[in-house]
Amino acid sequence: MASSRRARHAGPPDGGWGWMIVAGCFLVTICTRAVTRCISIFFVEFQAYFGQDYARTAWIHSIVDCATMLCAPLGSLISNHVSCQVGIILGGLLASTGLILSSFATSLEHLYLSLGVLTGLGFALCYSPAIAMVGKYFNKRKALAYGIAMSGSGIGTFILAPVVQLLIEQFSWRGALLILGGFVLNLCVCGALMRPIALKEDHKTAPEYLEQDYALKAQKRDLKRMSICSPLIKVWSHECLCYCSWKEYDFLLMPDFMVLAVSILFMAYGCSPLFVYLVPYALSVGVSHHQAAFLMSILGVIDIIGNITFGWLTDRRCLKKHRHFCYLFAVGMDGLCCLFLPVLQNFPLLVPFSFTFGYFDGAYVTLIPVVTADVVGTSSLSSALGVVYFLHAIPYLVSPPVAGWLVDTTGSYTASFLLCGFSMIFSSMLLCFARLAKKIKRAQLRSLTSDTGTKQHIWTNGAIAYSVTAELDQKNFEFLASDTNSYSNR
Amino acid sequence: MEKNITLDSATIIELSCRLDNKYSHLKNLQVTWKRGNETIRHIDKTENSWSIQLKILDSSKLGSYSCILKGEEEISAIFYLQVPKIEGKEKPIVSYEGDSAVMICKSFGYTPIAWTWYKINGSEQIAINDSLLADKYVINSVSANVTHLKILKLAKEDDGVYWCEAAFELGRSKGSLKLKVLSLMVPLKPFLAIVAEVVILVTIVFLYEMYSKKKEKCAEDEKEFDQVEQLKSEESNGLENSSARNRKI
Repeated sequence: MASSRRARHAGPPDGGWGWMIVAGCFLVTICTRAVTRCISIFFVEFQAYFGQDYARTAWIHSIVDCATMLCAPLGSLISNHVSCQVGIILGGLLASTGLILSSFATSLEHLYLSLGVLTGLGFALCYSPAIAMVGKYFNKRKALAYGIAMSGSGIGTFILAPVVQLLIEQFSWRGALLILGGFVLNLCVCGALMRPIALKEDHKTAPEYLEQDYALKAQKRDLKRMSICSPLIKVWSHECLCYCSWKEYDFLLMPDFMVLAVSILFMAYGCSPLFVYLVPYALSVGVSHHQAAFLMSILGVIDIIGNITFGWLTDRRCLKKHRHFCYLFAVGMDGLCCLFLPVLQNFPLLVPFSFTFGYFDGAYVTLIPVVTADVVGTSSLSSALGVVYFLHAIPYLVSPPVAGWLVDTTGSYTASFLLCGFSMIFSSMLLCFARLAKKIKRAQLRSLTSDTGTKQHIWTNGAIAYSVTAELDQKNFEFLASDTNSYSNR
Repeated sequence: MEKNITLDSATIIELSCRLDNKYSHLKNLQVTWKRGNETIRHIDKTENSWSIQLKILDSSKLGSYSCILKGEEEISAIFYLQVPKIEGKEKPIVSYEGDSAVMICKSFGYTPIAWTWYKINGSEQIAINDSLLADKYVINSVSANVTHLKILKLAKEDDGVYWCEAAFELGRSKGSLKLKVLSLMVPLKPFLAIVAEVVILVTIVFLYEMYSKKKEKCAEDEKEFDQVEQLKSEESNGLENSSARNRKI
């Protein structure tokens, strides 16, 4: 009798329970990103109650953002080793505890720890595993699914901001934090929804490679590591701890991923000061308070539209092969907008800027998980996303103060906006050149192996079952090269 | 037509009414400057403008002054001379029993000489003496234009209306604030409602997951059973065919 194993899906389901996962991820984005943005509404209350100035209260927001991004790899680690459901439920409990403890705060330092560190850590445990789960369940409609999931931050901020204001008026900040803690407990519901799924692609383990006797680069690497690790395995008496962590993070050494990482560093550096300094810049060129607030609202709403429409667009068959290009186009356009900003000196000119910047900002945010999945594959997606969001943390922390220092020393916003624009354009150029270099290399290698073209057909009937997705483009190329070697040897 | 003029210290002020050119066709105009019922002597500055000079030394001279032009129609303009307004807060300040509350009053542009806080009990106002009840009330001024009243160890009796009064050379001005003291049970109820909702939803999701796992397992077992049946029947069919062939031969 065959073992009653759970049936492995041939490929991502692209629907069914996947839509519940999208709903769960949407709620996770609301509870993490939107709540982080709404914390700044409490600052006026904290300032009055504790008698501190704006700079010291603003630290809370920086600590939450930083903790969420810095601990993202920890989130991926827990969800990979234990389970996604446990990771997110734990994160929800931590974040909720942080908020409840802050409602009893007696000093600003107490708030730094409970609202800053504890809540930020809780959010970190939820955010990247939830996004990775969406990638596992979708393939054909991946970008649309991500668009819907990521639009949670915009929609959440839109709805939550007036609600938080109302809560503060009714219950004062202590009561509002308590109720917000209850709301964040809904992360546990999202965690329960994240049913694990086993894909055939995950079936890549070293013993299978050994059976096939293919001289693969990856196999060689795995064998070498197994021999190094075996004495250590005995010492630690933990099965494959060394091997597992290598296997999980071996995408870090991939040249594609390193290029992506550097480009993300520059991109995060460029985009973060803009949200902080748009309103002060608008006020400095003579726009009124109401109009400046309206600019931020436009940015927020168009961000949501950009998320969903760009996600839907890049899922179309014609654009799917060019997703990488769409991503760097969006980043480049954002950079270009930034370069134009110092020239826009009145409200009618700033409105189209808000529209364009908001749209492309929503666009590239949707594509970050998709592009990462394209580079590292679905099995390492969770860990890769952890690293990618971790790389967001340092620029988010460093960039606004640097921009502020530039504004103070030069006396105008031009220098800081130009720096942001060039940073983002450099990020997209880097990706563009890396892609071109890869294409040229591949074309050269294809011309070398063109005489063994007929043998390729026979090989594709081979023993290893690979689902044919765009993610495997580069792996296909490696297979082609090594396969011709093995056939010529026989 | 009205105009507000804010004065915070003793000064000499000139109020003038000027007739606009579009009314210059009106003849036989009689101009009177009045304060309440009292008429004030005015000066004809030019053909179409009239003014009065006032020495404002104390609060008795403040109020509304009007210039009335009587002709075929009556046109008038009123000037309100007043002390600077103090900004309190329209929305009530909420706090909890045992906690503390901070109330802030601001004066814009003009610096008052002194600030006084009052608590309103029904119709009487009680001045708050922070030196007498130092562990209950703390009054401090961050700057001359702003005053803070911090009430410690709140109780239900502290609920109500408070006035902050700024004393200027020419009089006093009040701002009003409302304090609401809630018990800890008040926010706890919505919180517990949300926690209950979360627990119910999580239970439902996990139960559904177990149910669908069981269904899948049953469906898989059925499928395997069907496959084995199919194989068995194919085998038996094959045997029959071969025996049939044998018989035919």
